[in-house]
Amino acid sequence: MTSTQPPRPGDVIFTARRIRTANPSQPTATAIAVRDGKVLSVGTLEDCQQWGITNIDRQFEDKVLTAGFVEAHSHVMTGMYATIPYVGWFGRHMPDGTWVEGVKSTAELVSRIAAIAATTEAGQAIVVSGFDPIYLDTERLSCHHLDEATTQHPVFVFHASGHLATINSFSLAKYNIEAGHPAPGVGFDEHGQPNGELREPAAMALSRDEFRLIGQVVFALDTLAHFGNSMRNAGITTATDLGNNYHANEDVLTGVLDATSSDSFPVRVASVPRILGGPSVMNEFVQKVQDARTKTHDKLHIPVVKMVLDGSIQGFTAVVNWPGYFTGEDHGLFLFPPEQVVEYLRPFHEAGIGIHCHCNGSTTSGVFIDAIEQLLREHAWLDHRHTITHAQLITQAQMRKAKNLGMSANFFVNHMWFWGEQHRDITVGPDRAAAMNPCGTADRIGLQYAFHSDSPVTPANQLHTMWAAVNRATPHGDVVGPAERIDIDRAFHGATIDGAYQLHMDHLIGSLEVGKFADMTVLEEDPYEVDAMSIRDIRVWGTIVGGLPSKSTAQR
Amino acid sequence: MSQQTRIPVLVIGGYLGAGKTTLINKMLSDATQRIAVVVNDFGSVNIDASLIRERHNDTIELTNGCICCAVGESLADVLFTILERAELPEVVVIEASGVANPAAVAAFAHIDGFHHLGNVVLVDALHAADTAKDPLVGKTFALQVQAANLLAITKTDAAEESAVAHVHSLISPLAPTTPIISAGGTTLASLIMDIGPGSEITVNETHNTFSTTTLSHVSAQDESQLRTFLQNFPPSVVRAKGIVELADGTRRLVQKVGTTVSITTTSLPSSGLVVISVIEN
Repeated sequence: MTSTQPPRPGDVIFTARRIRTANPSQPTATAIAVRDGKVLSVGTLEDCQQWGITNIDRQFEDKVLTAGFVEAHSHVMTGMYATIPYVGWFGRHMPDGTWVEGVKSTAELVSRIAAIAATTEAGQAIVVSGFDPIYLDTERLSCHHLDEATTQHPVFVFHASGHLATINSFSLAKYNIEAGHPAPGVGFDEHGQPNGELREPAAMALSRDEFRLIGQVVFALDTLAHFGNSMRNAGITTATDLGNNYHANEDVLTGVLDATSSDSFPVRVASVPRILGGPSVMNEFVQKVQDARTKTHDKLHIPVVKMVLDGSIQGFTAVVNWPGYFTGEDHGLFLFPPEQVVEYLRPFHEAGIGIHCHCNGSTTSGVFIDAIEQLLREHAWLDHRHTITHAQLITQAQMRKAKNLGMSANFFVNHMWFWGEQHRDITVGPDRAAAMNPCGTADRIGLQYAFHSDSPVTPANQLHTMWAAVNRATPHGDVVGPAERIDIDRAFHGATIDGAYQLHMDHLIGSLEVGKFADMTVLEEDPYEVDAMSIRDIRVWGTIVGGLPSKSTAQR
Repeated sequence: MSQQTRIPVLVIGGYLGAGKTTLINKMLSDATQRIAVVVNDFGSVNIDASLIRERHNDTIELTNGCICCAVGESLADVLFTILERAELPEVVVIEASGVANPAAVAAFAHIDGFHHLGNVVLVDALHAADTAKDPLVGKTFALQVQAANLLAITKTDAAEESAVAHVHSLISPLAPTTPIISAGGTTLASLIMDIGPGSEITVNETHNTFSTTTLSHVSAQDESQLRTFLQNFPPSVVRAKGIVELADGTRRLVQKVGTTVSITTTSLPSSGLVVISVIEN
């Protein structure tokens, strides 16, 4: 049969070796028809041709198309590495696609900075980011190492933890940081002289210009464009900026809306406002979110809001249940008074705005779940999809309760690779490390979940999160929590439709179904067919967003 | 930047409901100097509409020269922005959030252009005993008390005598060298902000009385001797401020808030040292 609708300009059929749709009623196909940027038909080429389309694009005939990857917890800050050189231990793709090898020693760091200094005017700031000494055996980085790189520039090395920076002697002099400086967080050597370490943002801010430069880069529109490129290169078709302030300033919002609206902007963005200020401004906050929502377009959505309720596990600032941390001092801290969480969230819940709450620790997950229970007692909303994001140490009892309340979890399963050994040996010990990011148990309980990279904390790459969820492997070849591993089919849904659901966007994205955006990830191989340990090695050709192919610029 | 232009930064801490906002409101409405307050909950600051000159995004400018800023995403950025103002404030007051550790907030007071005046931590006479043993926030409460340079038990007029004594006994071991007073917002605002040459602050609260003495002939060889002099004041001295000439003829503005002593250079003439002490009733 043939449709009586006439073909339209721009109609196209893509053929592929295989299409993975994330649509359980039709999991695989070999052709997909696109009209107006949306999925018109999925099936065989013959099926698609029944719409009268003659424009057949066969460039992906030997590739695998999947429902576009959805990253429901990442940050625009990902794009900063285009401006601020990356010096982390793991090799990493930059937003322009170049590959930067990891920095494996202090000497290597010094030589990278010296190379930058060689082409930088004297006195101009040199800021590098992502330095990760946890993996280095060499002596602790100090101003003296950095002085070997340059004595003519202020140098600011921002560490991967986000809690530490190291500056050189030029900067120490520039900001009058001398012996006996009263600021907490300034590090001193055994002779009482400053050693260049600045712990926590308050001390980092002493290095004013360099510290502010990072902030300026993070909020620059260029950084948003670099973020888009990074995401496209990873095969992600919808990326979330979880926790920004765009809605608060009309000029900024306009800039962001313009920057993302063009066909050349390579990714759909879920822009998520972060709850700031006191409870008395929450009604105004809701109003601003609703106003901003009236201006959004197909490429930029404001689907939910975010609250950050505690810190990180590796920073010992997550709030964890008894018996507390395995080793190290417990610095667990709530960022909002637990008894006030309901008051903060009530206006959003009542306005029908979904909430993603950053909860790393188990205690914190419990506080958020209890708050949602209270809100649901007050105000019925069956389809809220409020999401515990990270949810790394969520307990089984909390998962059962969250499930009953209609909540979701977005697991930070990449941790199992990047810090799984540290969690087992240092932060929470073997029992709780094995039960971290518990995808397997969530499936047994029936709790809806997705997973994320928290990029730039770990690189945005849903093939990697799928790989981590399937294998839970560590750099030394161990498996942490084998009972929590899941199969590739489950993982694929966690990287696509499940994240879309948590963003209240599953009617638009997350699977290839008629009427939804024609967003696809283009892969060289089928993640269902490769060896489980090779999932993360699959090469990404690029993406198709709204029917428009965009090739990755990633090297290797 | 010279020491001279360093702006003193006072941090007001304390758990939710301890009276921080009441204190901030009092400071703003009765201000006799240009205060910049940085608050967590912008909407809770109760400013008389007739006092508001202009509101621009997250800053309110008052007709009395004070400003009120929302802390937003970055306290450091708020402080940098304050330094860029045409008319610098004479003092910055930061309201720490109800769960913040005032010590972590005070760490920002060392940014070039500022100096740390002290952490005043408020403790709610009615609820502190419950907060202290709360499994979720008991530790936060203890950290706040430990971070204080001056502890003020608030709402004592509404609390039983025994309850106030109990709160006192709870916080005293956490901060054994920190003065503990009982005072409401009006008294505190006065102690902290109104002190100056010739000021005569005498306040009777239910549990304690504050009295003022001016030491008119303070002299010191150098800063270190001056610092030692102030540090050795008896614990009943909760506040001091004055301009003192050193042996070399230069002058210093000295301030004491509870256990902190801050010394900055000044070109203003010597004024003697005003000292406020507390006496338990």
